[in-house]
Amino acid sequence: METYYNPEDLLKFKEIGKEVPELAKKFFEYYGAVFAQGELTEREKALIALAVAHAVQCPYCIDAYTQACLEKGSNPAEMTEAIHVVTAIRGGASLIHGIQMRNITEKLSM
Amino acid sequence: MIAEQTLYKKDTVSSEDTVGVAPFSLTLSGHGLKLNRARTHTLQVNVGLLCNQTCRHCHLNAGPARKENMGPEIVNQVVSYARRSQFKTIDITGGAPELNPHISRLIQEMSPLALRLMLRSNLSALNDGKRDHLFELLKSYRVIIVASFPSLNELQTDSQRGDGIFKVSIHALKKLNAIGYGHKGSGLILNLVSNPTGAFLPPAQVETEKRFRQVLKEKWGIVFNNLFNFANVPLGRYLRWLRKSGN
Repeated sequence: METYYNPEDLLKFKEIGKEVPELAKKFFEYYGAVFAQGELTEREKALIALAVAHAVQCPYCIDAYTQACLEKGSNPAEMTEAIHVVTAIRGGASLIHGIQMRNITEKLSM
Repeated sequence: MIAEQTLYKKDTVSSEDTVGVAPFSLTLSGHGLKLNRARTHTLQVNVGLLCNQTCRHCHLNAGPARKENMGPEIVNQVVSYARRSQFKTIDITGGAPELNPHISRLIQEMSPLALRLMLRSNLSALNDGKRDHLFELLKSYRVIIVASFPSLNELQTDSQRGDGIFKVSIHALKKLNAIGYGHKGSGLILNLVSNPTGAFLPPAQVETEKRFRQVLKEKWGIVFNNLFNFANVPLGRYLRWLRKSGN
């Protein structure tokens, strides 16, 4: 069945540079530098990427960073906890807006 | 060349233990390379395929049903060969070498014949309650223990090596620490080996060693000397699992 998301497209990511190569080159250089070992380890960065992938709900990123996390030595329990962190932040972000709702309700109510 | 390629294709079809890559010798000759044999410094002795575990990544298909186990005559011949050849390192492996009935004699007779004597252990065979004498034997001959410990995660470990293996392994490591293994300056070397618990490559060794050292110490008070990351070999049971799981 045809879908908008095709797993094989992940391998074609570099093709995004065909029309605008300078910007793609800058992006991929930056991308590589971001994920290199720094103050954070490559393993920690892959866990953050996995969590963000779930926040932005990118199936390509989830595929790539699930594999990357395992290859960097993370285990499924750590990876699942990382996704709970995302879930907590996303849920919390909705819930904190409830204060706005309450403020408005208070103003409008007798 | 055509004839060789045809042979290679036939081989890949007929053997379940090939992965569709060209034979090593063919690849070398294709690059104009020739391998020359240097002096051999390490003797690896595989004492058999009998093992108490049936690890899913085992490329030797070792397990409890395997009958191949080195007998006393072969042990004599191996010891005699090691004595004549003067290796720097002797590396005893299996299967689970602890399950070979001649393992104590092999250790005793091999120990004076090389600078280093290593024993590959899956930890659970050593710690099965029937072989406590081996702990003291290993210590007295200062045998380097190379222990399988794939993951800090219980589910990952048990999934690769069998139910309950993680807890048994932790217990065995504690026992080894208690008799001096893994402590700096003790002269009793305890090295860990981590294999990926699935169809992925191993992580960077330096980083993994650092993390294992920290977590093992914090959670269980366990110390060790070195950690080695090994990639799984896509042969035998591991190859079958790769195919069955669609990886």
